[in-house]
Amino acid sequence: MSAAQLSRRDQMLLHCAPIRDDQVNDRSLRTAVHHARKTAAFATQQNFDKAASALVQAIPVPKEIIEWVPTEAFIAPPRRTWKKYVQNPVFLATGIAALVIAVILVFQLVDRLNRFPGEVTARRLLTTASSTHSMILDPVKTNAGALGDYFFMKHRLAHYDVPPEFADLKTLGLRVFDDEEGQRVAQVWVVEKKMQFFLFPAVRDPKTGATKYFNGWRYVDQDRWTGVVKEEGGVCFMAAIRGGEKDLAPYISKKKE
Amino acid sequence: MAEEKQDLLQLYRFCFLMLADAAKAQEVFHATLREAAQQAADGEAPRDRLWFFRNARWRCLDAGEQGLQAEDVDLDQGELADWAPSQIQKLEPEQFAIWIAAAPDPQRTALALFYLNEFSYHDLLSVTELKPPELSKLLGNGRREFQAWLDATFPVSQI
Repeated sequence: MSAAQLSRRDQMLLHCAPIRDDQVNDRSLRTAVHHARKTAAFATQQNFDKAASALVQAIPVPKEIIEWVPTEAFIAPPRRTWKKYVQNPVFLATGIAALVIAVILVFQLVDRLNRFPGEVTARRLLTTASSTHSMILDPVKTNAGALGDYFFMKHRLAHYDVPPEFADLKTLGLRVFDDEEGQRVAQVWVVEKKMQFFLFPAVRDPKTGATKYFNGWRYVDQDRWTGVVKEEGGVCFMAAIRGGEKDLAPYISKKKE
Repeated sequence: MAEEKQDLLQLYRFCFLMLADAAKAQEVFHATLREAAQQAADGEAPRDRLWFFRNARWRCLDAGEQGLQAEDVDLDQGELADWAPSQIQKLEPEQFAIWIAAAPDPQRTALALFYLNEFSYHDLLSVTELKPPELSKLLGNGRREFQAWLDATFPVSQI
């Protein structure tokens, strides 16, 4: 490559190329030097600079100058900025480890906060929801809010009431069955979005028999199905849908009397 | 120890290149180190070695203003020659210092710092307070002007 073939930027940088290779600490300058290393013009410049530099090093220095305290004695120790700390491999490794631990802790905390009594049953019923066909249900076409009386009258299931948020939805059919633990579970199909409702007994303390309460709506998901669960009067209600939380959120955000 | 003294030597040589006068160079050198010592005593020690060269630079320019001033004229320029090292070897260091000290600033500072062979590209930009194209132009022109002066002083026929 001849000097004329070098880019304007390379030519500009080469005028500033330090004589010593160890002082070429700029990436673009290093690239320019690499491009020009075999050109005659750059070799001439380097020889010129080396000769001039040798002349400078030959400047006699008075003896009293050498006797001064070295400049290093006056220079403040370098401050360690946060960038320096970050670039230190030990701090970097420790920081990454701490970050990973923090993320895991946050995940566990969020997971723990989302847990609620009856979550295991709710997950199991989501699996049931994904495998149930409407044909096995008894056809009952009414408002979901009217089913409380139906369950009480026909199946003697007290407090199996659909919460007001879902009470206006039209039903297609329902069934009542015993799950693996012998609990009476009510399953309801509704027209809207092929949603399903489940009503099942809330978890009880095995020693005292007292219901384990929890407040508000809780999300649970299993196999691309999502449920939103609420406990009321010792019975859990779950609305299940094939989708995500965003599909159920509009219903439970509604204010109902 | 030799390494620790290196900056002292280079600082003096820088002052000498800027002023081409040993007495004035020593004066600036001492003043610079006295100020550094004073700042260190006050708990505000210079952050790095470039501080010494920046400080000395402005002292040299101040001291230079009291004497003859370099004229900002366009000097002849010559293409760098293969025989330039032979021409330069015929010079005394003081002659080179006189040539550099006669250059207008910031070219004077750029050439003096560059030929100390002590600084990286970024250091040069920092101390001269120039942008890369400016530094490049000053150094490139400086070489060619010096070559023209060498050709006039030591014609090729005499080498």
